Amino acid sequence: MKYILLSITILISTISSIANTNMQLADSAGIYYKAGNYNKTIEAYLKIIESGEESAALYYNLGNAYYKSKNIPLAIANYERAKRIAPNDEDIIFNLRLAKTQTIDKIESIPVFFLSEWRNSITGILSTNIWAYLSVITFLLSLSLLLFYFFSRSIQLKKITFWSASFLLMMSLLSMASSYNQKKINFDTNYAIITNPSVNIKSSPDENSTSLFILHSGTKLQVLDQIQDWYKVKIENGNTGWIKFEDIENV
Amino acid sequence: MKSYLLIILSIFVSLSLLAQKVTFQASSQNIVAVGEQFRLNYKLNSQGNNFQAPNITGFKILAGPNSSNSSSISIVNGQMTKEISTIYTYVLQAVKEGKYKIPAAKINVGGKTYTSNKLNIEVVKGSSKQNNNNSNQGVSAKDLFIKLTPSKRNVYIGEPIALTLKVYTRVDLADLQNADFPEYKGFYKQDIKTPDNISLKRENLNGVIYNTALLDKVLLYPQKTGKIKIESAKIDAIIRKKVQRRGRRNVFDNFFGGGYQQIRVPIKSKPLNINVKNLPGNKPNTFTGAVGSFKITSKIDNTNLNVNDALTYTISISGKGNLKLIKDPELEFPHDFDVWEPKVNNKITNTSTGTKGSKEYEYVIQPRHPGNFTIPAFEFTYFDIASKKYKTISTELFEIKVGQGEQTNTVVNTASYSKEDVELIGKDIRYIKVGSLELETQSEPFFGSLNYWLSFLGGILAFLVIFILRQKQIKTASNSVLVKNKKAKKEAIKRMKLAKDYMAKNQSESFYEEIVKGIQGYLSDKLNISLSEFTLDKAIIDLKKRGVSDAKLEQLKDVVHECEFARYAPSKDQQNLDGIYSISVKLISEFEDEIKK
Repeated sequence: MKYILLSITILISTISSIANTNMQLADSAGIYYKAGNYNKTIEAYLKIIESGEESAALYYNLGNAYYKSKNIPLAIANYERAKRIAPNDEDIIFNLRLAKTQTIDKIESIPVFFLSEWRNSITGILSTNIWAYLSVITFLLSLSLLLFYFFSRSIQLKKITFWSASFLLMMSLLSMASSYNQKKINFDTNYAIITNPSVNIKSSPDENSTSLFILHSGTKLQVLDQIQDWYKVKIENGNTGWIKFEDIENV
Repeated sequence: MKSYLLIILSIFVSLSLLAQKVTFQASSQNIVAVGEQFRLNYKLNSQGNNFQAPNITGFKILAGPNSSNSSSISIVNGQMTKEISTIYTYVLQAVKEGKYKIPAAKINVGGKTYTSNKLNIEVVKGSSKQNNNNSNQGVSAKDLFIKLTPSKRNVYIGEPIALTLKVYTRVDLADLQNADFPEYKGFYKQDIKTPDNISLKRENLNGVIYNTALLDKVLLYPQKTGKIKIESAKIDAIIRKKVQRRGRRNVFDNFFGGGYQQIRVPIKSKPLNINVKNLPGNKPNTFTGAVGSFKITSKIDNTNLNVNDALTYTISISGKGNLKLIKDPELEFPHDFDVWEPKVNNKITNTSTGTKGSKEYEYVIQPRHPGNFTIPAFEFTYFDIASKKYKTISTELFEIKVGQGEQTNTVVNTASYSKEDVELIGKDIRYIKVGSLELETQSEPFFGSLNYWLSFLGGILAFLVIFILRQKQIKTASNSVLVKNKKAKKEAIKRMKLAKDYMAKNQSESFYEEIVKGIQGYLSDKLNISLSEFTLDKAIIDLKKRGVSDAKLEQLKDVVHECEFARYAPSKDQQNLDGIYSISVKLISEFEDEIKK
């Protein structure tokens, strides 16, 4: 019993110490950023990420520091990471759009079917985690209302609980679907940003194969497959090809 | 008629006097070899007298001074000019090596004394004689060559090099043709003005006297670092050679100049290598590539004006260096000023020490809104070759007061701003998020994780557990009724036995009590009515529901009433006790049969 207590206190203290140093790092990074020392800012934020903690604000700030030090591809990569956690943050969307205006490639994206566009905009209101929590909570509430339904004597109460339980169950299913959709958009599809100023996209995972097209730094790609250090990627207009691992930064 | 002639003549004389300025000039070779004979000329463009000869030392005077006169009259567009010249000539011979000075000579013209220039003559050992090796058709490279001479071989990028291309000859040069000058790759080239016609000059090169002619002179600004090769220049020289014939000599050959032959000799200069160093690394931000030494000035014509009045702001960069390569200054005018493209005035001349002059940028500016504005100082950085350091100079800063002026125009002008301009001004990212960053440990999304599904499963399990428990509770509650039901008969039999005992002992009071308790207890257990709530009426209603006949219920009522009555008014009738006992037992056993369910 003693040992368990001891180990718990040690665990808590280590966690809190990590949190403390990270707080200090974040503070110092903010000061560096204000002073215009962007390299130090980047260094501090990277240390926080290395310690295993993250947040939308952290990636956003890191993206800002990269933007200010003129590293547009990494700025875009970090804005995309931030957007993944907080899809509707206005600052993130604004800065990402501004950073994207500085990229070279203008790719016409394939138009999305309007229904799925609606669906995505609705599920985009909340992040996948919040949808997931919502689905669990509504499900549990619905179950407890069902218990009332089963064991209540009053017919009035039975009616109310039945209808509200079925409503909550529907809500739970809908949030589950939203959470799934958001997860699919933000996590299951791997995206990457080109960091090399100019890259030949190859027809096969081989240096000597035909170059299909040329892309420039800052362009967003969808990663479909991987063979050794080659990635199969898809750009927004639907073209696919192979690119070397070192030319891109995963989001 | 006579007077007319006189007037015309006097005009001519006065014109000629006005036009002419007396010059008295000495000329000779500047380099001669020991033993060589050469001429020393004094030229006067007028008629003079009393020529005072200079004191010539170090040379042997072979002849002179001999004077010769010449005059010419030319009429151009009805204007007549008359040229007279007198030349005094010496023939001298150099005796010894060294540098000699020939002092000035003097002459009187019209009562005025004119002094000539002094001359420096160098006497060298070498032979200036032409190489008359006629057996060889060609000309040796020692006697005829062209040479590229740079002013420097080690330079910084952007530092000027003066490059001269000269022909050196010791043979009789008639003409130069097909000149092919190098391209000067890696340099920015500026031509330096050279005299239009080629004139030969003597020059001493390693003790040998050559006649030289300047072919080309350029100023080069290196544009890249490292060793830059300047390719060779090519030219065809036409030389004249005396032809010697064997056998009988034709007298007329020499007389008509037939004894000479012209030969074409292609000549080529040696290629050159120039070493170009990069500028030191600690370049200031404001450095845009200017190398040399510069000055910068700025001026403004108006600092107090009204909206929409124009003002002129001028920046002038002057000095020596790669002026032509200087980038236009990037000035930061206040944002809502209209600034037109600057007018650039170049006043630049190329000399052998570099480009000199000034570059002037004239900006016309129109303020659009009233207020106080600042035209910031412009900083200009150049690399100073002399001190090998970057130097930053700056113009002064101007404060401008813009008054309201007439109001009418301003509205129209703000409309002329396009939306894009506004967006361009504000084109910066938003500031970082400050305060708590709300850090969380990096994790996979909650949806689809084990915990996610477990929380659903847990919910369902909890639901089931609660459901089952509640169900069971209800069941056990109903079970207790069953037990009571079973217990009822036993309890009743017990009480009946006790009643029988009391009957035998003839304790009628206790007997009645037991009978009533027995019936009540039985019914309360059987009908699941707690004793506290039990009344006979309630039991009868319940029994009726369960389908017990009215006759039996009447009997039950009678028995209970009789017992209760008897308890308070006891009768000692043995038979009565027997009757009640048997009826009670009979009723209980009948109820037992009927209330099964």
